[in-house]
Amino acid sequence: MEPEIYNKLHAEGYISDSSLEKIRQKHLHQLFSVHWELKTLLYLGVMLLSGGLGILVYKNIDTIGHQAILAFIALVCIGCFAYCFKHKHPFSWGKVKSPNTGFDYILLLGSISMVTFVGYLQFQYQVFGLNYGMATFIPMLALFFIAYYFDHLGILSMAIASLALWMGVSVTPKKLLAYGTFNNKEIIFTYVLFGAMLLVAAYLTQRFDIKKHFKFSYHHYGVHVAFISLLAGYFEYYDSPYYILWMAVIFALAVYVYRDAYKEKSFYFILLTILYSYFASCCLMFRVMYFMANSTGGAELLFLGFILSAIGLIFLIININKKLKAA
Amino acid sequence: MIIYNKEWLNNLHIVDLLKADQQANRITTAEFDNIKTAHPVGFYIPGIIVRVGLFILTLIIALFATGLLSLLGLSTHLVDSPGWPIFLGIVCYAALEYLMRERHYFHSGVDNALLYYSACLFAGGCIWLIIDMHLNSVDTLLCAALICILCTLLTFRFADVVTTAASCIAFFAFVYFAWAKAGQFGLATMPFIMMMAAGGAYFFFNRISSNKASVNYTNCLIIAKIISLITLYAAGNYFVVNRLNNALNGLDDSHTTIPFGYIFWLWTILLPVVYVFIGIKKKNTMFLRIGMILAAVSVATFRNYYHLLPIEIMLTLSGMILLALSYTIIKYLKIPRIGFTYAEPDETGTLDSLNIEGLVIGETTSHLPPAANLPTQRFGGGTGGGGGSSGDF
Repeated sequence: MEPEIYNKLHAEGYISDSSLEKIRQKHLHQLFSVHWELKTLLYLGVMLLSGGLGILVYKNIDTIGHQAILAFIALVCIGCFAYCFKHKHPFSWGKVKSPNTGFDYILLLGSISMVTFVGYLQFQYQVFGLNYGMATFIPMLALFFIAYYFDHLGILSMAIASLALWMGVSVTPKKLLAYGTFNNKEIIFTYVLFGAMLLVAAYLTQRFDIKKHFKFSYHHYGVHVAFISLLAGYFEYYDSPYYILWMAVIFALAVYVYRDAYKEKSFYFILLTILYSYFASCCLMFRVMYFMANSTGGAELLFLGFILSAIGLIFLIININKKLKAA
Repeated sequence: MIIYNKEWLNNLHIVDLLKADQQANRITTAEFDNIKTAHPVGFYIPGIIVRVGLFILTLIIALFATGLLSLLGLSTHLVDSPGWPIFLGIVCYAALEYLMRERHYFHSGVDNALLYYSACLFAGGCIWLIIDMHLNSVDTLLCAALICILCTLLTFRFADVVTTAASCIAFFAFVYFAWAKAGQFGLATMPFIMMMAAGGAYFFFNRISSNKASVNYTNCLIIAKIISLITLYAAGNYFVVNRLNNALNGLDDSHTTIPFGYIFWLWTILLPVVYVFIGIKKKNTMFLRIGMILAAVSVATFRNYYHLLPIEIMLTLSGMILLALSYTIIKYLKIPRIGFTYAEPDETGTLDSLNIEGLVIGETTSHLPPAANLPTQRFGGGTGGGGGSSGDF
């Protein structure tokens, strides 16, 4: 099938002789790339090894003794970092390509064992005493430093997660929805603060050109956390007049994220904004209908409202997409 | 038969093919632009993120629209009969056909959502009908046949991968239930029949995909082949055979032996190796990846019955072996050899821009607690669910 297409295009004059020759060459010497397979194996290897070592340590704690284990973990950690310091490319505030494939994974292994080391130290010897904050604060700082110094997006995600842990919340969207306990005001405000911090970090990253490609991670977590916690706040204050404040903040945030995403041409964030604010508007519609029409027809009207607004959004999405592509 | 404009499909195929050449600088941009203008594609084909958004919103619309109709018809008692979902399914399908004609969607999310929703409504209504007929002996058989036929027809019309997958699975389910009717003999020979069905299906799909006429169904055929290969493996997997054998004979799961068990152990262990071997030999990504995944499944199966090593030693050892293995291969393939390379493939997908890898690391490592005795109760751990998006509809 394929050679026929090329020959036909060539005969019709769309492809020049030299181009056709290049295409022929490519099909003659086609290489089979096993890049992703090998990368997956590497990643699995790191995960299995660190998981296995963890359980090994846990089960044999009585026989090998804490010092030996700590020494071993420290050794792994130091070994990994020694390798990374030796092979790294010079630091820059822009994007730095990693010197080789193994590098990223060795760095990952080193960081995980560093976190384990500190956790172990605290668990066994209470190095930080009852000051639990410190026990999470120090690995967090270290992780942020590693992420920036070696330019590793995965470790940045780990650092953000441990920042969340330090503040007493969790960050990945899956966990937010799975374990998120939005049943008291304190935690909701913590989440809002955390989301705002991430959004500010994303803004600063962009504004001052500090590792610009890190913006996506900050923005991604920030947008999810901020929207979900604001919606939680809205439901928490559902019966008090402050609800209007929460809604106002949600829509203000939506406008901000939307404008930013439009500038960046990132359709992912535009879609997030649209979906979150659609959900918020549906909540508002429900509230209005609930007060307005306890009479017959209220539910039908509400359904109709949901349908029409969703149809409107579909047209909006299609249009924005067209505009973004044209721009 | 197929709903899409055939000429556009053909043009789309050509443009996609040449786009890869243009990205790899094998043809000039001017040549590519000429080809593109000479081969117009009128479909609406948005990117993956837009598709997800359109899919979600269309599904919401379809749900509320059918809900509204049902609400309006509540007083007439039409809603209580299986005819109602069938009717709604047909309405949805009509809307889908109309939209396809007017807007030329091409797997754009809107059409996917309507297609799946109407298929579910229609099939659900028919299954309801079948259950109402109280044909206890053959109702599963009928349902499987119905889903298989419905999804096959829809696949022919829309060339959609999900309906393809559904129809394949329904087909294998049909074979299974039909053969189970053959009594004790059927139960004893079940794995072999399933293997034959799956193997036959694979060769059938493979034969079709080398046919020129199937070019519009390339993705569907790939999915069909993948499902056939997995079924072929599952039909002889020791764990699957053991459990199904127990279920069919009414035994509990403490029975771990099956007649001719060694055949199934051989099958469990060798088939992934064969897949990987075929993948390497034929340079076929599909075989290679399926083989790798099934190898992991085989290890898990084996471990379920024989505990040769404690789990932690196994994890550590396998981690080390995997690291060493992949490291050696990467070193070896630094310069391309015997047609293999470690270089990244030319084509870069949209998903790269979302930096999936970073998010996966964030998701899988963030549960590692930095300090085990962190006072998680500080904010009232609890198990409350629902997050912020608790429903108020």
